[in-house]
Amino acid sequence: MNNEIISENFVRQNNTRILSAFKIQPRYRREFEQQEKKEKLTADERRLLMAISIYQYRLTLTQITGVAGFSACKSDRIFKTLEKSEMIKIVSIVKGKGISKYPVMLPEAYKLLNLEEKKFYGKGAGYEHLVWQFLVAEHFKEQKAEIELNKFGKFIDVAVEHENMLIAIEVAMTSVHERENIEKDIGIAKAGNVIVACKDKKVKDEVMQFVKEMPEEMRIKTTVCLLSEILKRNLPELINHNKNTEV
Amino acid sequence: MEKIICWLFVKAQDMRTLLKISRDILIVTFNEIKLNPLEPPHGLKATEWAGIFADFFIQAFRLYEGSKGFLMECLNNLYLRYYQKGYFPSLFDLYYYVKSLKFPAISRDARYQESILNRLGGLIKSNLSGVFDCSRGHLSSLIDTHAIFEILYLTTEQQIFMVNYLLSYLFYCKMIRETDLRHFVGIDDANLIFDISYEKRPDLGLPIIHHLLTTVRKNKINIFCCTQTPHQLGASIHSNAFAKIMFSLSNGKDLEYMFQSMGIKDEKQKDYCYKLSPREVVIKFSSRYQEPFIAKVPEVEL
Repeated sequence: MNNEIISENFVRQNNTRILSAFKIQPRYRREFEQQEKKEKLTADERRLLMAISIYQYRLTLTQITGVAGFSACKSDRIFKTLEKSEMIKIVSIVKGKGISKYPVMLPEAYKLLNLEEKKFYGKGAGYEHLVWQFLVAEHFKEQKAEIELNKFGKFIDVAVEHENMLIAIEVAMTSVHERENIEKDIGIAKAGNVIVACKDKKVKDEVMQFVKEMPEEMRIKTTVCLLSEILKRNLPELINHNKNTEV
Repeated sequence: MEKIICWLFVKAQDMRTLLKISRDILIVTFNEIKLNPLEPPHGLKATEWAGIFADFFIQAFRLYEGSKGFLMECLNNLYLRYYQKGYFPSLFDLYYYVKSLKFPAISRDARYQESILNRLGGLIKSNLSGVFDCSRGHLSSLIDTHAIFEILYLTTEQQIFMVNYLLSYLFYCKMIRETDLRHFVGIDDANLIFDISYEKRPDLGLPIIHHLLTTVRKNKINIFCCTQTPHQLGASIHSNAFAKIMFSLSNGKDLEYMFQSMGIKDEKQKDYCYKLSPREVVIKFSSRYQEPFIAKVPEVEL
């Protein structure tokens, strides 16, 4: 049989002719994630969200569960539902050996609760950065810790007072802006000491590297440590430690 | 007079020459056509089709019962969601739905999810992705159209999935809606679809397509299975075949199998079967005239 005469083009045209008489329905297109978004809240979800709105950044999931008066199992289920429907974000913080989880409310939840969205500080800072700011401020509350203190135009992540001296604590998730931060904290904000608290060892090593290259007067005013370590120490311990070296 | 619609599943392009006889034959190359395997035949409930789909899906991709149950649950949830919108979910929707589910990593559900996603991903991210991109495809109209499905460029799993899907759809369509149409379905290399090994796996159960074979004749569907290795064809074909036609076979094992299947016991007849000339065949019917006889297929010029 000679099938050379039946060209691809002929087949295509013939198929188009036949198929043009048939009707199809295109696929229903909607971002699947949007389908997961909730339109109504249950009473339990509302109660838990209200607790989150008050204690977010400060208390862990377990602590908020206690405040809201739910069992661990029930609250775990509600937290998962809220996270899936983009009502909250759960931020995991590594503190030493354990991991603590902190809930953060997202715009969708504020909308459904009919609450005004709380604007927390930090220009472009992530949720993890914010949680750490709150944790550090809570740790140094006796030293009048203040988040995002504006001193002569320089915003300090957490500012504390010690022996009439301003101590600037910078939370470093990456090492990218830390050199500028140290220079501005000392040069503009006139901080007596700068503590750079790093997310992990990699960031700490990078920060240590450029601190070593800084002028002597800046280097002696700078302490570099890990975020997980800062919560275990008091302020004198941190600032009286060998300057410009790691804690 | 009864009208016959012909569907052929072929692994070569030479059947295109049939276009010289009639231009009303659709050559399905899996480029222009749109199919949604989650769209049930008209008159069948979506939840019922979910079970049928799960059956041929797990057979084609060699999955187990656990995955089937998981898949059916997902499908039923999905059908409920899309029902209100007036759409049928597509394989893409199923993939993204299964992907969005969250299970603990060590749970069984996570394993089922992984298996289903792996197979679905292979379908929707392959050469067939454009074919499945629809809510209602061409298939409901294709029932009344002559079609040649060129499955030569599909992978083995895709071939099994596609043939099983199309035949299951046809069977259920005809079961629900009685018409004067008779369907003639020809399958090239049918041992791939009706593989005997499927009947030897008690852990998986008999594929749905094998069950359907027992009822197809009542629903005016005639299946014509071609194979060069008849010993690999399942018993569901051999036991339900009205006519068996044997051309020259080169493998002794296949010949022995056909002797048994056709009831050829005479030694002289057996010897003759070893020396069949081109286009010479041995035919055996299961009723009317039941003795095997020799025939010659005439050469057809197209």
